[in-house]
Amino acid sequence: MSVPGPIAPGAGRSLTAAGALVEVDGVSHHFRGQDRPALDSVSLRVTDGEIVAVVGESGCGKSTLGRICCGIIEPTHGTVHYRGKAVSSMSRREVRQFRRGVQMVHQDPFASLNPSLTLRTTLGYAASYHRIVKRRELNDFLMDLLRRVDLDASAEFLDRFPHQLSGGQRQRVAVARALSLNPKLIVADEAVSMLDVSMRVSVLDLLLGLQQDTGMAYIFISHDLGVVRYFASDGRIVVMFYGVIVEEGATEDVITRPGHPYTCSLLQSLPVPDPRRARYRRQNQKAAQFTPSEVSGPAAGTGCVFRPRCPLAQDQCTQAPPMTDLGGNHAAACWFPDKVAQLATSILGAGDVTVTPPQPLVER
Amino acid sequence: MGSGDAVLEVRNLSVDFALPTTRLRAVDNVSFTVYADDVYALVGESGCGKSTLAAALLDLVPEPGVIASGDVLLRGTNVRSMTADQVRRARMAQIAMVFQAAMSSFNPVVTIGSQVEHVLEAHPEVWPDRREGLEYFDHLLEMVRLPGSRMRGRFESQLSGGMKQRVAIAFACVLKPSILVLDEPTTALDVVNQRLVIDVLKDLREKLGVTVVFVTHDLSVVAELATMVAVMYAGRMVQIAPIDTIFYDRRRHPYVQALLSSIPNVLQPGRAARSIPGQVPRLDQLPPGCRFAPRCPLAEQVCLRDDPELIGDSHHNAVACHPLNRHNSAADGGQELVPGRAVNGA
Repeated sequence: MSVPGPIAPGAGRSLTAAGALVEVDGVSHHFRGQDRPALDSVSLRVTDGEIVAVVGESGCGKSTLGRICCGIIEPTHGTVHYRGKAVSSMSRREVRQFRRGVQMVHQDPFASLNPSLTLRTTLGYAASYHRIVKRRELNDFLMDLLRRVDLDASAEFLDRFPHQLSGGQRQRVAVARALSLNPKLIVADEAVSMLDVSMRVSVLDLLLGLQQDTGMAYIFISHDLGVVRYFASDGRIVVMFYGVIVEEGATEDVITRPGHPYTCSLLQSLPVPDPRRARYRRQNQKAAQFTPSEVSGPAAGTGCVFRPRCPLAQDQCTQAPPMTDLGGNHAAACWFPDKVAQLATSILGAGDVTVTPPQPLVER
Repeated sequence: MGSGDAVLEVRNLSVDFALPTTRLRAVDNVSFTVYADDVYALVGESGCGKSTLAAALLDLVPEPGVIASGDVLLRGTNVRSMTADQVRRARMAQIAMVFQAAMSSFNPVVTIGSQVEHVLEAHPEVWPDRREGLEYFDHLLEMVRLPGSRMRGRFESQLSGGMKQRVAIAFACVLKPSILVLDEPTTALDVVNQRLVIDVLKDLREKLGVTVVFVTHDLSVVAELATMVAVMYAGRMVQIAPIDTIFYDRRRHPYVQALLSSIPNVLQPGRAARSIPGQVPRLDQLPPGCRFAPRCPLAEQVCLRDDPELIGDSHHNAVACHPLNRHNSAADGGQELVPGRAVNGA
């Protein structure tokens, strides 16, 4: 059996989503026992080789969206298209191709690897199941995988168990497992947030390098806009709050000219490695007027979901704001784009404090 | 910075893990002093010994770890010469700890309120009237920005991760400790909850006057919270310095520099962050000389051979690095460091 090439698009597929790799359209998901949906009519389109960052706090529905894109859970409403074909109308064979083409890297590398299996078993299982590799060639295949994620390509390493690895090594193994199926899209759900800060960049660089080599796309789920600016600097950001997309646009636009007060709050919350700026901000907290004293949930009923936490909220916000175009494919769901721009300036500028990047003693 | 009384002094502390075949030194001859007004950060990567050190402060090193040598002084009293009962009383009442993953430090089948009551029962010397203790706990809950009495009837499973962390902080303060030790207080929280924990700790520092000692791998959190920083690498202290020295003085330890450079900063466009080459050495495979030398851009022959001492005032400002210490001892300290003798290639 030969190694299959790129997944061929199904014959006779509808071309509603020309060029889209994965497209979710108006998906909602309602977990049983919850009084509001985890996702409320969300649409997202990922094309080949694109990096889309989905940003928001815990519980905003970003992981649910990622799981729906992978086919791990089915949405209660709405459709998921893979290469132009609705997943719900796929044959079993096509579903297998979809599941193969979209892989996931989970947050916690301590929980996502089976502790009782050696790396050889963990890494070889999916590829053998999908008949990507012959038994005879499995060893070479695994060595190649290890090399691609910068791990020690040796038989000794393959016979290790997850507990014998560091957190960074485990996450590389999780990436290798996803890579073993030659995916077109990797959904990385908080893939670096459990790692030490010093390890994050090396794993991000690894993921970026793999994208260069294979032209994969990423859905990169994170709450940390610093990490997102690094990883998705040529890509797009989608900001979610309690099941709703509140802003989307090119990464630099969203970070330097946020269009929604929630994006401002994420930027303001993020600790920044600059004590002078931190002190300035603490002294002028009232001026910046945006520190949620209590993390409150979404608004009930209709209207803007962010209203209970928003410093700009007014009567008008009981009506749901539409996505307003801010130019250059940048859009946000807020009634008051001018006031958000002022808020953003007060947060990002932090007054007269000059932000000094750390100066190295010696240029490497 | 460093004003007020010395509330916690650690002198030449070493912690060993006795394994069947070998004995590993997780914390190696560490000294530092925490003053009443400090917010003291212990910084390092996974496996550098920072959590072990924090546990040793309360004489809570997990098996098979043992404190091999050195002293921990709580307001001048040596924890290591206390009786077991004295140590038990000192914990929570003098020095309290919030463990990493506060999520799993509660009993899931008992309400938060009754867990607090158990603590009050065990320490009648602090709150003779248990009801007053519970009222104080409600007050603390409000200080950590949670609805006081309503939280007491809840179970751990009814709280979000960020709420659990703040309940754990309030819990740790219920016996009015003078020192609060937190192991990775913001790790595994989203940014909104990280911000809340940072603000809450600052409030507690200001309103209760508690001295905060926290362990973290994240220098961004250090920048927001700390006044003093102690950086560990592979069981050793490599630099102790006030916060601004760490962030703005170019004479910082190359490891600190590497940590700073590895942070993806939201204020910087593009991809400015750089990962640290190599890995933290395993404790059973420590390199000779400086433990950071194999990853250090400034490393010279002497670094590969001799272990650098922590030179300076270990209470306020000290660094363990051959090139830096030679540089600091030069006449005016004004000359630039050049990688002329570096062996790792500049």
